[in-house]
Amino acid sequence: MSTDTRTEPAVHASEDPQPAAAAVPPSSPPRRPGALSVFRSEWIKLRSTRSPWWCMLVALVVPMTFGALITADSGEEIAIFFSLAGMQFAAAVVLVLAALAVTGEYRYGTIRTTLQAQPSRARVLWTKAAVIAGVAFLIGELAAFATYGVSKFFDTAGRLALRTADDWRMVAGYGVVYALLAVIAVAVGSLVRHPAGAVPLLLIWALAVENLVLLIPSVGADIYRLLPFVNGTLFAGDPMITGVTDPLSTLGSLGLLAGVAFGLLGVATAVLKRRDA
Amino acid sequence: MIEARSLTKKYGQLTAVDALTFSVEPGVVTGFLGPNGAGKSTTMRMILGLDRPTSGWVTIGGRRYAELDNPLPTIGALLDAKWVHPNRSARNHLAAMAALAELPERRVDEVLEMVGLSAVANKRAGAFSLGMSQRLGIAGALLGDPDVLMFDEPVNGLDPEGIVWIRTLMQGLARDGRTVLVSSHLLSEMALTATHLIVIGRGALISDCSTQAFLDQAVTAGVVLRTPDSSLVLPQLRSAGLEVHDDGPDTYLITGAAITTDQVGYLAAGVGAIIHELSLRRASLEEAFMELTADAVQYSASGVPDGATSDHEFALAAAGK
Repeated sequence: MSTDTRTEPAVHASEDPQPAAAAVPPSSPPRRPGALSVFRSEWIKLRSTRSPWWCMLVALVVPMTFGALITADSGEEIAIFFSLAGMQFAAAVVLVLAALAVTGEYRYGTIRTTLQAQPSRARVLWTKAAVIAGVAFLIGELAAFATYGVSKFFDTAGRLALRTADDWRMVAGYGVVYALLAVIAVAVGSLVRHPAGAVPLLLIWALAVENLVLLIPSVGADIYRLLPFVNGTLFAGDPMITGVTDPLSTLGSLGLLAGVAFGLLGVATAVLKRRDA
Repeated sequence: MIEARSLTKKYGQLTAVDALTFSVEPGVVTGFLGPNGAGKSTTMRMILGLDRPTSGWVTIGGRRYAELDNPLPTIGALLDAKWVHPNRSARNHLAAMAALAELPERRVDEVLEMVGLSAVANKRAGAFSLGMSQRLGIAGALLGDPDVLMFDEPVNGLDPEGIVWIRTLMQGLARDGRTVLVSSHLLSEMALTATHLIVIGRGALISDCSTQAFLDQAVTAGVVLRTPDSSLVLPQLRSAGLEVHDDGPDTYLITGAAITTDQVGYLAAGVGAIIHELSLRRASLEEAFMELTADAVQYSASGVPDGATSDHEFALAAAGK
């Protein structure tokens, strides 16, 4: 029945080079590991499975492909915002990556190993959010600039250029938006704890529910303006297309997205502290 | 040293752990025994600070889990060998733990060597057999070189070689002066491994004594007496406070507190009864365990405890355990 047929290792703890005597306290009392050790641990966890790498690859390739196709096939007019249309897809990939990084720990039980080694649950969740948000930021910047570069390559007429601050924001803004989306997904993942619950919830919310709000006749448009994913798009959006021309409203969109992200993370922290792991 | 005082965990109406008070001493292997669903795992999770007690407390070396500065060098535990990401290698699984506890990376290789997994350190843990997973879990428990170790059903599903290996390992750890708590639902296994036994059923403490004392108390079923002079001897036995049960033609099973064959022999001789057979009947360890925990088993079919799938477990599963 068993497949474990290796020879007896014949090692037990009495041969441990440094046996700990229970009665003797350790010479230097162990200090509480700080956020940096949690950071290193989370980084090892993130890079040591394959799915984050696949997510990153897809999040780079798909926007670049769309950027190339859209630009090459466009007639007279092409705007940066349109050439980066594939970034909407990459945003969904970032949501999945971030949600899986948390819910995977619940699915496989490794969250208990983590919390066993680090009793400060707030530190675990916030550090995890920071690591994944950092990766999401990098994905956003890499994908946006790579897509812009590819689009520019196919833009033989030379219509795409980074001239104004708005132009830069429409490309560089994606990293910031993705980082905040990752924080939202980490928070939701931590609250829901099941991959099959958190991932569809996030995707349906981001891709369907917020657009449905527009169908509410009188107040729909007002509510729409306050929704987090909409505001993510608005922040990295083109003023000529979104109609958001006031720089303060652009920053307001970012602020609203950040508020929702950290609000959710706060709720997730409180719940994580209270709940049994 | 682990100390629990009035440790209680309730899930709504269900009491999973009921006012448990016990101490686990260093230097010996302490068995944590009870039927499936008795509350052993829930107790261990509370010791590790994973579950919050409804009331009462438990400390490790005098401190609650949340107060430990760096838990892994204090207490190591294997609660479930399946708590690994299947696509992560054994080395990376341990490296993530070591980073959390600020342990040097070479410690990862040391524990992999100790449990005999060095050759497969870079293989994905999902491809491991149950025995290898258990070894990886034990490597995780040993990572911080802790004074207190806890294993939840470590021999479940292992082959005989693996069982002997784990038993030897735990006894070696205890000989080092460490505190070792190991749970099992098998008394026969605990009889071989543990020096001290904490027995629980339905979340409540049934017994807390040395394994030897538990076995002595538990395994004597009674004295078998075969005699043609039952009319002479049986009233004598009853008046001495013993109970008499029919056990076949002219054969009786005599039971009573601390009953011995000597006692029955003297009583029979006192009335001049002829004895054809006088012997001690030992219950099997499992029978004895059932006897002691009979009242404490949640669900039983015609008096036979059915530990495998108790209501209790279903209720725990429903509570998200």
